[in-house]
Amino acid sequence: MKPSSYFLIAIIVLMIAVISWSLTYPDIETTILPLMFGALTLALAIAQLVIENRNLGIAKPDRTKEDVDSAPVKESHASVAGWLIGLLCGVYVLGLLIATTLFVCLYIKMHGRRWGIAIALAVMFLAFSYTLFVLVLRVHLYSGLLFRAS
Amino acid sequence: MIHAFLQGLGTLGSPMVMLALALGSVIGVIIGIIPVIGPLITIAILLPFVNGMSPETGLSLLIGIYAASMAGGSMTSILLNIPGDVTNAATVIDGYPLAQKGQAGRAMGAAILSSAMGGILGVFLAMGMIPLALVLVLAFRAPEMFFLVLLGISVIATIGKDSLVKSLISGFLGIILSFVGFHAITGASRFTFETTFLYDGLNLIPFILGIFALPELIEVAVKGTTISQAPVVANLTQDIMEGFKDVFRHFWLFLRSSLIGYILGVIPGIGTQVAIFVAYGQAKQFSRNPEKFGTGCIEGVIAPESANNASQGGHMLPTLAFGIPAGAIMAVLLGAFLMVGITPGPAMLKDHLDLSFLLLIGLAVGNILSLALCFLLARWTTKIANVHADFLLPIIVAITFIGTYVAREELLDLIVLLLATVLGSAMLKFNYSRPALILGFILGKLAEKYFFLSLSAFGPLFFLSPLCLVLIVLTVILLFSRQLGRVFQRFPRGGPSGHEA
Repeated sequence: MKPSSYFLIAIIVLMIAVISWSLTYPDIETTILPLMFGALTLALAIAQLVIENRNLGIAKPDRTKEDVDSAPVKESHASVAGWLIGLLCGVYVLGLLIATTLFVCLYIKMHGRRWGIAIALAVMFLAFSYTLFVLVLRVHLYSGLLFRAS
Repeated sequence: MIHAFLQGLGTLGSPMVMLALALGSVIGVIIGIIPVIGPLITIAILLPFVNGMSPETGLSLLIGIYAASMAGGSMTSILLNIPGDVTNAATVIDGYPLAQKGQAGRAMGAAILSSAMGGILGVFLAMGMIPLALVLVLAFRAPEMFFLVLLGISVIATIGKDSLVKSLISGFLGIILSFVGFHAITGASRFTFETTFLYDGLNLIPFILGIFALPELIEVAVKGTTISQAPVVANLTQDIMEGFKDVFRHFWLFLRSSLIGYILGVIPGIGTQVAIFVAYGQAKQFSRNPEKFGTGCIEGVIAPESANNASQGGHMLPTLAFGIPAGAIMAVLLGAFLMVGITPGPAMLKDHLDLSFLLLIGLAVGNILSLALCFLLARWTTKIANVHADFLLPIIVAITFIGTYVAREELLDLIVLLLATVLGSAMLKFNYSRPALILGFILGKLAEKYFFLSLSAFGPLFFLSPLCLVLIVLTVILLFSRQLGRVFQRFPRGGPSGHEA
């Protein structure tokens, strides 16, 4: 099965859920459009899944171009995803300003740049964010679990 | 009327008013460039400052911001795949691929000139159409609104660059996601799972950023390169000039798109978001090279940028003439009018016609100032496309996180941002149309609201009004113009038999 088929299967599962949830709503006005678009998307996703996989048995190369392209970058995608999830957790614990500043500094350092450059850019980012969001726009930025508790 | 026009022009010449307009334009371009801070937030923040100013000065400041913000937003759309505002959402489709090809200067030249010219044309149309505006506003009731939104949604079928099935899947998925939250008519909650956070639906800002901006940045980071695959442009001015020339090469497209933007801008409740996609859709359908759209086609930049700025003049007309705000920004501006002691409406055109002209001319001048500012800034901003991913990703991600939070001060929006990034990345990898998804998401709920309003007010035959029928025909033309064109081309002149009549 092609990698894109897994994406289609996820859509099919989601649409089945959408249709099931739609059927539980009390009145026709609330139900009709999610039901209609859910059913249409489900039908299209199944059709696309069939189109993508119907010729797989005829000529099956050892590795498709998509597989070859995607193989060496899989780790990097996972690593970027890790950075983003780490940032989200950091924001929750340390607050927006501290977590984003640390993120800028650590990301640049971990990608082979010198500490001086990483710290300088992080400080510039902090100054810009603080001036714009806190001083000019007067937004109350989330201060983090750690600092809220104290 | 001419006397009032000249009086308005004279007031604009006074140093304080001109200074306020210039300051507003500078702020507008800057907030346009910074992702997620749109003109709405900025104008709302500046309202208390306007309170102490004269009506001419205070309103000129706000008009300057409004005029320049869209041109600023086009820069981030082209350079970073981040729409500065929702009104720039269609510009990313071809603007960003042009930047990837090393033609950021050309794309920005075309964007800023078509924005400015569209804005000026919109102002002239607004001045000329004051007598017709009320007819137009009143002609659009719920059924006409529904078919207008449907016209926008129909672009889903043409917007994708891969298969039609994939475009439809993307568009319908966007429509389904727009249903999250309270139903506009019945008030029932859908797909909220008893979570109060979802009652208002998914927020557009993290959704757009997650779908467009972060997946592209992740790809650039994974490759360890820069956004532009080409080296730094040696002669940027020449590149921008090339973009200027492109606008004149496609002048008919510019006129069509501006007219679409202006007309849809006049109609309250529809807004620029429909106009940009309709303009983009017609540009692709009537182009000689529709297959190039989505891969970095200059027409795909000119059409939405002309439409979004032309809609500003359209927005101003019902706000000034009838006190009916044509959109959220106009509603805030309406508040500003009241704060400085001016009540927009029919009486305004009688008692303060000179002020009305001042604001319309100010809008045109603001567009010219934004053109000059963007031209000056282009030298530095285009360099973003050549910044290495190691620096670009952390800074843009960090600004995106803060900006997403600032929009509603809601931490859970960050989770929406990341989930949308996962969806956007998958769609990017497997060639599903992300613009179609956004189009469905923006217009889905509007379509549902007007559909049920039409049904309850006019019954099942609500589509039988002349204007509805015209809109249905326009939708069919937009969807099938290419196929119809091919059918007509098969027949030689003189009729299907091939014999001259």
